[in-house]
Amino acid sequence: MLFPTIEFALFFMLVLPCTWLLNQRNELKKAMLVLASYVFYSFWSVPFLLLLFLSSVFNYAFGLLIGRSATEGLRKILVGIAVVCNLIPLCFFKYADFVVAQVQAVGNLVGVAVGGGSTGLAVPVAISFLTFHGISYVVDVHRRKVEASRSLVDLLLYIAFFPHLVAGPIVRAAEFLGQLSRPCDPREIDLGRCALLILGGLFKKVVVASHLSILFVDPVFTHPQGYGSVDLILAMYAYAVVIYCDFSAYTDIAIGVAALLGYRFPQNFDQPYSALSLQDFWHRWHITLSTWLRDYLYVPLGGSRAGRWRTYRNLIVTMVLGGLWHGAGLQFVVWGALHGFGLAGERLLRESTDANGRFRAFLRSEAGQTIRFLLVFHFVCVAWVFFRAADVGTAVDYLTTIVVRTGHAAPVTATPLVIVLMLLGFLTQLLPLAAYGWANATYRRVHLAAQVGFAGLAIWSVTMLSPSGIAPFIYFAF
Amino acid sequence: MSAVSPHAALPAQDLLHPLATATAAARPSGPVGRAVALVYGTCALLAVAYPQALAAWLDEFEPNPVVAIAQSGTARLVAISEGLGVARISGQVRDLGKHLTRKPD
Repeated sequence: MLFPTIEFALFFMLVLPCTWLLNQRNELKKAMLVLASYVFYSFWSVPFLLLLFLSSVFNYAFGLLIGRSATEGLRKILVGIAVVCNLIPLCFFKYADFVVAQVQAVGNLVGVAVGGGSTGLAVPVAISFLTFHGISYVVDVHRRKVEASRSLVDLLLYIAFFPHLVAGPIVRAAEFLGQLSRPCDPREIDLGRCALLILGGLFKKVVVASHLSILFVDPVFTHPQGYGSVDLILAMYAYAVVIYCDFSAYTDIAIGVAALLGYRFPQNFDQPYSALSLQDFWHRWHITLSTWLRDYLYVPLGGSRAGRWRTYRNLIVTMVLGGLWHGAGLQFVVWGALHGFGLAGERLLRESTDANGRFRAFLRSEAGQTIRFLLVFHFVCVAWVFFRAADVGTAVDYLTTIVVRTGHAAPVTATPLVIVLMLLGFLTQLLPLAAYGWANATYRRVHLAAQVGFAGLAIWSVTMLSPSGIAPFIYFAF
Repeated sequence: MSAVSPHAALPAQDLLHPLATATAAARPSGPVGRAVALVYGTCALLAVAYPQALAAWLDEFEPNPVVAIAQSGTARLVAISEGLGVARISGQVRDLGKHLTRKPD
């Protein structure tokens, strides 16, 4: 069930009043939300509901076991087992075919025939986010950041809550389980914020991301040799807009929907393309994933505690694994490695230059900041080419074609509409936060009828301008 | 720790009022009532403004009594929308949107 569909509208029209009607009967409300979340998931797959349920029960049981274990050694063993068991379904469904294909490729290179074919299994929707939530919970119980939940219903809801189930944001157990212990406070519903998040998300996904994909990005990335360098460069920028508008739209709508039900989710994006360094970019892009990778991968690897070179290694390993999580393909490994080496290079530069020296002073100046912004943005865009391309070869071809075709006269196929959509996408990076605050305050101030009228008009406009059939959100694939 | 202050959450009666009258431009007092009224009001407005989407969605289902009832309700919505002249405007704007984006519907 996609957010911008009639199915979801009807589903939510039922769930919203039921949630608040049952607010004072908290246990019943949570059970109803679990049921609703399972119904939501069943629109994708009924058999995988069992995986969702078993994963939740497994983490619930291990949470209790870890919480009740007296010795640190036993706690470590239990959390290790829990993490490995959480990773098994992810590795099996997502990476088994990839590993077999790589082994076969290596076998062919050395002249050894390696057997084994594709499992032919579909990757369950939400399996990554399911795994993230499961690992986050058992590790946080082990680290004593959160108490083991005694309520199975709470844990079922934490893992399956429909707004974040399929594509995040990744909500930490410590942030969410506390909210389940009491009825929600309806005074915390910020209608203006909810409406802006949901309406803005619909606009970004349905109008900007979908159109840019269909009209320009998909054709150019499918057949890059057929385009000139200007189109290729524009499509690279356009994809940066598409992936931001697509993914941030999903999490914005998820945050808004959860807030209407009385639950708070963390912010997931903060104008990432305005970053002045790669580190800054990862503090602004998919924030809940980057903090997850930091806390559950980078820190356990040693973080920055074991010397300079190990820190660089940890950054690269973390980003490569983060890349591999996005998909079972070498192009994602390259994408992650580019960011890993970029982050390590940035750190090396920072550590090898004097904080009060002329070079760093220049980087802090207005001209220096402009150069940093341009460098970071273009680095991110080039890395996105690997992320979007079907494989590494296609990505390399794409980038090579840009260089080879530079200076050749070729017709530009990007239409004015494409340029306008790209500018609209970039505008979301430049709008000052005060503009959002003003829009929120204005929306909250007006009469309810005007609020309904504005929301109706906004969704109607989005619907009128939508392509027929909305493509699934990009992050559904991860 | 297990409960918020007594007036923090609305009793069910407060919720029923806006639910029952959201489309009649009621003025729900509490935040929950406003939220529910906003969602229901927006969906109602959209159903009148562009009932063709609802009709097309229902057409995808296998015929059965529930779908038949929903389709007859939608037919009334289409009639209302056409009577108000909204359906024509939606159709024209949709055509304009398709023309702008050069995509088949």
